[in-house]
Amino acid sequence: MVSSHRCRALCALTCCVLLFSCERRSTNSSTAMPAGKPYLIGALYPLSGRAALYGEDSKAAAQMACDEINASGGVDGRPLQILFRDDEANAEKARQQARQLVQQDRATFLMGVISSSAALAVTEVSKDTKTIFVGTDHASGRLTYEAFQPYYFRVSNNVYQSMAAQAYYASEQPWSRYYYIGPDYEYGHALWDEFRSKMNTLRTPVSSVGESWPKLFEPDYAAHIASIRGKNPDVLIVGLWGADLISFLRQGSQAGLFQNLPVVSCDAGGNYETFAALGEQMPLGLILSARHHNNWPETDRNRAFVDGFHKRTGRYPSYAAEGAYVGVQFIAEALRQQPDETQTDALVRVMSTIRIQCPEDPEGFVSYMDPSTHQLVQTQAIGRTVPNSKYPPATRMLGEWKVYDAERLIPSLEEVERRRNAKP
Amino acid sequence: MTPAQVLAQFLAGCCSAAFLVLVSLGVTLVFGIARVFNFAHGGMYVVGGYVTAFLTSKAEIGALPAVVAAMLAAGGVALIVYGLVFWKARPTTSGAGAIVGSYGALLLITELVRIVFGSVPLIARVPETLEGPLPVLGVSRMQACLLLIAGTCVAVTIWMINSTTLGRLIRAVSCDPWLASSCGVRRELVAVGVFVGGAGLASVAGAVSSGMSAISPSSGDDLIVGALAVALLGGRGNVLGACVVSFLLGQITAFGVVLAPRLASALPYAATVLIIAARPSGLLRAEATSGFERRT
Repeated sequence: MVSSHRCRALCALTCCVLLFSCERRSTNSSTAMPAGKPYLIGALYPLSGRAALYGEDSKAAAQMACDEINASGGVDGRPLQILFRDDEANAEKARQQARQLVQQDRATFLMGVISSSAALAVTEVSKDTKTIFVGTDHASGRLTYEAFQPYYFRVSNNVYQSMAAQAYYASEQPWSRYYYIGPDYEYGHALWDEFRSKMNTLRTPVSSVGESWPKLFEPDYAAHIASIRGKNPDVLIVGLWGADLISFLRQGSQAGLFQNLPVVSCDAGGNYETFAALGEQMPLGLILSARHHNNWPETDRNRAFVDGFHKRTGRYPSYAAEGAYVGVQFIAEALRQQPDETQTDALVRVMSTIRIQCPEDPEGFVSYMDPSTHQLVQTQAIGRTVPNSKYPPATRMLGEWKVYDAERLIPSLEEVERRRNAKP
Repeated sequence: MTPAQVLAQFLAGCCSAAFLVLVSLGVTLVFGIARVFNFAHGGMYVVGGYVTAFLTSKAEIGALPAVVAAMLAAGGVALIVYGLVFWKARPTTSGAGAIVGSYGALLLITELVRIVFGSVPLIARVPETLEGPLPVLGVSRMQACLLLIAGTCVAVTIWMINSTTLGRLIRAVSCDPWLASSCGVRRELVAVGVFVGGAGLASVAGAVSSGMSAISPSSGDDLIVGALAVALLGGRGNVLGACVVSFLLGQITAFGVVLAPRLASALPYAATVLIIAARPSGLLRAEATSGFERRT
C-alpha cells in the first residue's frame, strides 16, 4: 500500500520536473536588454494542443525579432518585452487571457493568435479596451471586413488574398471541372466561397463536379478519395491544412490519385510543415502556396530570417513564424514613429499607413498597410513541388514560381463597403 | 452513381471500417472485462504511432521491428497506467474514478509525447512493396494491408476468446469476477493481461495508421470517442458487434460522402444516436452480464 503510494508520488514528481524543466528552457532565451521602461506586448499563441507547432514557431520567431531589436538598442532607448500566454486555440481562453494581459499585466499591445475564432474573441477585447491588436497568422476575412474595428491590424495574408492569387492562377489554366475538398468548418467553407467569388469576377466561373467536407482532424480519407476518382475532375482544389493535409496527400498518392490530376492549395498547402513531414513521399507537381516560403524570395532578408530561426530552434520555420516576426517588427516600427505608447489613437494613425520590409517581400517591393482595412498588402507567389534537399528533413520544396502583385490581391473599396454593410 | 462508383465507395467503406475496428478492438476487450471506458487507449494509439513513425522515418529501422518496438512501448505504458489508475480506482469507485483517471492519463501521455517528439506531425516510411495502388479496384496496397491486419486481429481475438484457456478465464472474469476469483482465477492478473493486450492492439492500430496518416500528439483524442462509441454500440465487449457497427459506420460515411456531401460528417453521429435509441444495450448482446453492478 505504502509502496504503491510512493510509486505514484514518484511518477507524478518526475512528470512535474520534466514539464517544469521544459518550460524553463523555453522561457530563458532573451538576451541583455537596454535600460528603460520596457514596452509590453502580450502575445497569445497555442502552446499546447493541436496547433502547438504554429504557436511554438510563432513564439520563437517573435522572441527572435524582440532580441534583435533589443540588441540594437531597443526603440528610443527602451526595450521591448513580450509576455507569452497559451490560448490553446480556444476563443474563451483567448478572451480571458487577452483581458488579463491588458488589465493586470498592463500590456500596451496584443499580438498573435492562430485560430480565427480566437482572434474574433480577442478583437472584441481590443475594441472594448482600446488596445492595439496585431494579428499575425489567422486568416479569416471577417476580422478585416465584417468584424473590423480600428484597433485591429493584420500583418499576414488573409483568405481573400490567397484565394485571389489562386483564382488568377486557375483562370489561366484550361480547367473546367472543379472538385473541392476542405475541412467542414468556417475556414474550409470560406476558402471555397472566396475562390468561387473571385473566379466569377474574373469571368471564369467555377463548374463544381463535387465537394467533400471531411471533419477537422480526420485521419481517414478513403471515402473522399474514391468519390474524387468517381467524379473525374480536371482539377482538385484542396483546403485542408496541417496533419489533415499530410494524411490526405499520403493516402491520395498511395491510391495513385495524383498521377493525372492537378492539385491546387494556395492558402496553407505550401506550409513547410507538410514538406518536412512527408519528405520524399511529397508528390511532385502539386500547385501550392502559403503565407511565407523558406526558399522564396531568395533575398538576403528572407535568408537571414530562415537561417536565424534555424540557428535558434534547430528546425526550419512553418509559415506562422514569419507572421509573428513581422508582428513584432511592425509594433517596433510604429513605436519608432510614435514613442509614447499611451497615445493609442496616434499609434493607430501611424500603423494605418506604415510600410514595412518583410522577409517575404520580393526585391523592389515593400509591404504596406491598407488604411481602409488594416490589412498588410503583400505579394503572393504560387509554386509547384520540385525536388530540393536544402531544407531537411524536406526533400521537396516549391519552385517554378508564379508571382502575383500585391495590389491585385486586395478587394476594391466598394467590395469592402459591401461586406461591411452586409454584416449581421 | 454508376456500378463502378458503388463498388469503389463500398470498398472505401470497408477500408474505413477496418480502421475503425482496429482502433476499437482493444478498447472493446477492456470495456468487456473492466466495465470502464478506457480513454488512455487513445494514448497507446499515439505511442504506437509515434514509435513506429519515428523508428522508420528518422532511425531508418524496418517496419516489422518498429511495430514490435511500438507494441512493447505501448505495453509498458499500459502497465504504468494500469498501476496508477485502474489497480485501485476501478473496484472502489464503480468505474467513475477510473474514467476520470484514464482521461487524465490520455492528456498526460499526449503532452509527454509532445515533449519527447515535438509538435511536428510524423508519418511512417512503409516498405516499398506497400507503396502505390493495386492494379484493380482502386484500392491502395496500404489499404489492402490494413484490411488484412484488421481481419487477422479480429480473427485471432475471437479465436482466443472462444477457444483457448486464456479466453475462458477472460470470459469467466467478464461474466462474474467474484465467482471467478472464488474458483481460484487470479482476476487481477487476467485484467492486467487484457489491458496490456488491448494496448498492444491500440499500438498496432497506431502503427498501421502512421503509414497512411500524419500522427500528431493529439491524434488519440480524435479517435478515442469514436472507438468507445463502437465498443458500446456493438454490445459491451462483443468483438463481433464492434465489427458490425464499424462496417455500418464505414459504409454510411462512404456513401454519405457521395450522396449528401454537406451532411456526410454528421451522418455517423446520427447513426450512433439512432442505434442507441433503438437498442440501448448495443446491436448485439453484451458479452457478459454485469457482475460488478449486481454485487455492489
